[in-house]
This record gives sequence, structure tokens and C-alpha cells, in this order.
Amino acid sequence: MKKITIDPVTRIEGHAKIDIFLDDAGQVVDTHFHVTQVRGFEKFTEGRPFYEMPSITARICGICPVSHLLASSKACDAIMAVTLPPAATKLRELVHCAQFVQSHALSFFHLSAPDLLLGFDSDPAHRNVFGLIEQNPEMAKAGVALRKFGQQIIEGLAKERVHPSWIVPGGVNAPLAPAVRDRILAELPAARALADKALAFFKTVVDQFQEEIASFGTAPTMFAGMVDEAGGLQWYDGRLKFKDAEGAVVSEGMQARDYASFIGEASLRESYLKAPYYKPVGYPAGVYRVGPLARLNVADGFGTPAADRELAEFRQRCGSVVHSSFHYHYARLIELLHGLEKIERLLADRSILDTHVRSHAGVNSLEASG
Amino acid sequence: MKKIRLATVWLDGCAGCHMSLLDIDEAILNVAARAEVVYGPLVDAQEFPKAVDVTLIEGAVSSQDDLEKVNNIRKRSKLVVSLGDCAVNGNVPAMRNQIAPRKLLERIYIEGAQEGKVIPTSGVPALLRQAIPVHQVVKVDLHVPGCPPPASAIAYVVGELLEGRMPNLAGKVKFG
Repeated sequence: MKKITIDPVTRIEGHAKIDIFLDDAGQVVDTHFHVTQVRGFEKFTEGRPFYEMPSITARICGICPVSHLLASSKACDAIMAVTLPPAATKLRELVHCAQFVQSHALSFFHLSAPDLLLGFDSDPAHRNVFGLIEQNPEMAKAGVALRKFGQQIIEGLAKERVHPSWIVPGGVNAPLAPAVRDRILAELPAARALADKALAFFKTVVDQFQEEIASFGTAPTMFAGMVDEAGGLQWYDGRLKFKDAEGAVVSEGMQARDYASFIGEASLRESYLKAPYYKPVGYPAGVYRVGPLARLNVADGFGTPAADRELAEFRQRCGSVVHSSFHYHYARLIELLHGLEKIERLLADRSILDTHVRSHAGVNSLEASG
Repeated sequence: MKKIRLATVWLDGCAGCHMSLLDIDEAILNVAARAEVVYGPLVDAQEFPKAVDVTLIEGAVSSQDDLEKVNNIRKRSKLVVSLGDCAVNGNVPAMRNQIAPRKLLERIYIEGAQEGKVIPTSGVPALLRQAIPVHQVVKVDLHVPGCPPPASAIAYVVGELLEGRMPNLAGKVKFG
């Protein structure tokens, strides 16, 4: 038995290593994916004041802290039983879209494009964003610019790009300045052009990866995503929907606060990462994928014109339920486009400039007996 | 002009300091021109190479793997920089330090799991008793606090180090 170890797995957002076991004929008999980091957030936050949770859980990840801040703040909203002023919800959606743009840009350009553009088997010493800067500077600059566009929106809203403390229980800390809104709108066309170009380019090369598409992470699983009442994709708020590997709806209308009844976690001997699964189906049959590909599989549409056009072409090329994990790249680029369309739509509504952006504490009135 | 051999590492961190590094935006092109990034999450090297000029370390030292890595990094690097509060003083990962590792792992993998209910031990590094700052293990040449340090401070630090100068961070950084 021979063992091949990849340690570390590079160009991922985390810590992992992979062991591949080969028999005497050189065939793969087993493989393990080991996540090699655990910090213990779920234990060391026990007993802390609930309103600390957004800032603490943001530190789960410096790439997507906005998602953690929003999820945690929404939980705080529910604990406090407050209704957010409309501008607060729009601003939270805006910052979330900005994060999708920067995070998807990072994933595609900085982490994946070295494989896709320089080649999976190209010289490891140059198979990275720095090699991309040298060999395909236009693509590298597009990635830097798109990531910067998303980060600058976050910075314009929150004054910080990483772990923005602007997102708080009850809303956000400050309204959107009109000058910031104007700047974003002025820069949007250039960002949009880069996203369109990247997607158009990717569609011309995706067919070169037939072998990868056919073999990379293609095992059938369930899929989960969040949608609005009409079944359209939702990143900020909505109901959870689960589909099976054939695309049939297993459940929908699930509320996040009831998660414990339909989401379980399995601990694994060989990884610090637990495996979530859909409880009614059980483990491991109930394992479900999330993220860009899963969202495209679960949602009926984006609700923005360009992304919906691309989605129609995606379904035509790849099918109505797509299993190949290689197509996360394609799905991610369509989502990036949607993010830009959503940013434009949110900013077009001037009520997003409203200055009431955080719930007020309630005032109770009582007659005292006298 | 010979390129500076630069390495970046994330130990027990969240990648936020690396993101703040990327937040220098187009200035990354200048870094690419002056430095060869020989190891790190952004590149594919499997072994930490010898004769590294500058290593930026993000994250606390929390596992047996982190401990071995940081000792190896110190041996092979001329300058070691603790980047961000986790590397500088433990920060959020160190919030586990009042809890015995066994209790931590039981909460996560036994009480916190509905299937399996097994503490991971195969192919994963053991946790140290506490998550500790880098300088508690090896000599550190420069501390850059912040959670994360601002991109402008990181740009300044990298710029100075690439020119062979030691940066003066007075007034440029703070914790948090």
C-alpha cells in the first residue's frame, strides 16, 4: 500500500491535508480529507453576552466575516425581538452583495485561475496569483480590481474592510453617505465590464476541462439554499430549501431558527471539520452541498436580468441539476454578476440613504396603581 | 535585481491578516516585482524552503503542527514578523485557553454532534494545552498588531522590508 500526502492543500480558505492510498496495482483504494484546524468557538463563547457574538464570530473567517456578522446579528435581532428599519435591511443586503463580489473574485482569480489559466500541471513554482501577474496580467488585474470593488463598498459603508464592526444587533451603525453611494454607482460599469469579460472568457474555455468536469467531486448529493417566497435566490434572508440529487424538492419553507430539527452534524475520526447532514434522511445519505452550485440548483432564478440570462445558458449547457463540483467555478461567476446587478438595484432606491438604520429600544407604557 | 524571498504563513488564524495584505490592491503588483513568494496559502510549495528572507506569520500557535512549523520557519528565515493580534498575543484563538482541550473537544465532537460522536484523532494534529503567541515559541523580529492590521500598515511594513529597512510602526498600528 502506497500513500501520497498533499500537505498542505494550498489555495483554499482554510487548513487541510489529503492522504491518498494506492494498492499494489497503483489504484486508489481510499482517500481522506483532513481538516487540521479547530478553534472551539462553540465552546469558548458559552456564557458570554449575546451581543458580543457578532464581533467574536466574525473572527471565524477574515474572507467572509460579513456573512458571520450578519448571521450573528440576525440571531441577536431575534433574541431582542426587534424589527429592523427598512434602510438597515437594505444596507445589510448591500454589504452582503459586496462581500459576495470580493469573495467570489478571490476564489476565482487568486485561488483557482492559476489552475484554469496556467494549467493544472503547470510548474508549481509559478502556479499561483504571482505567476498569473507575470503570464496573464490582464486577468490578474481584473481579479484585483473586482476584489477591490467589493472591498471598497464594504469600506465605504463600514470604514473597515475586514471584521467590520458596523454590522450590529438591530441594524447597522451608520447610514450610507450620499457621496459613497455616488462613487459606487460611478465605478459599477467598470466592475460590470470585468465580470462580463471573465464570464465570457470562462465559457470559451470550460469545455477544455471535460475530464475534470466528469471526475471532480461528481458524487450525487442533496443540495440546500435559501430562497424568497417566489423561490428566487436569496443571500440575506429567506427560507431554506432542500433538493435531492435528482432535483426533487425534499423540503422547503424551513426557518433558520428551527435548524436543530432538520440539520445535524456528524463528527469524523479523520477531520476537525464536522459533516452537516439533513436529519430526516440521516447520515450519510442526507449530506447536502451548499454554496454557488447548490444555490443555482435550488433556486428558480436570480431575479436580475443578466444573471438570469446566464443561468438559462448554464442550465442548457450543464443540466437542471448539476453535480460536477468543477461547475462551482461557472456558478460562482454568474453569482458575481448577480451581486453587481443587485448592488445597482439596491442603490437605485434612494430610501437606502435613510438615516434611521438601527432599531430603537422599545418604550413600554403602564398605568401604575395609585 | 535579485528578488527578496518572501513567505507568508497562516497558523491558527482566520485569514483576515492575509486579506488585509491583499487589501493593498494594485500594490500587490509592486510586491510581485520585488519579491518571490516561496511559500504560503497563496502558492503551491509543499515544504517550507531554506534561506527565506522574510516570513509573515498570521495566527496563534495552537496545535502540535503549528509548533513544529513555527520552529522550522524560524530556522529557515532571516526575519520573522508576527502579523496580527493572533500571532502577537493569541487574540481570539486564545479564548479557549481557560478550557482543558479534552473538554473543548468533547463539547464540539461528542455533545455537539448527532452522529459519529467521536473525537478526531487520525491525521489531525493534537491541540496544545493553550493557543499561544508566536514570540512565546521563537524569537520574533517585528510585531504588527491589529485585527487585522490596516492594509496601509502592511503595505508600509512589506515596502520597508523589501528595501532592507526595519519599519517604524509608531502611530501606525494598534490592537483590535
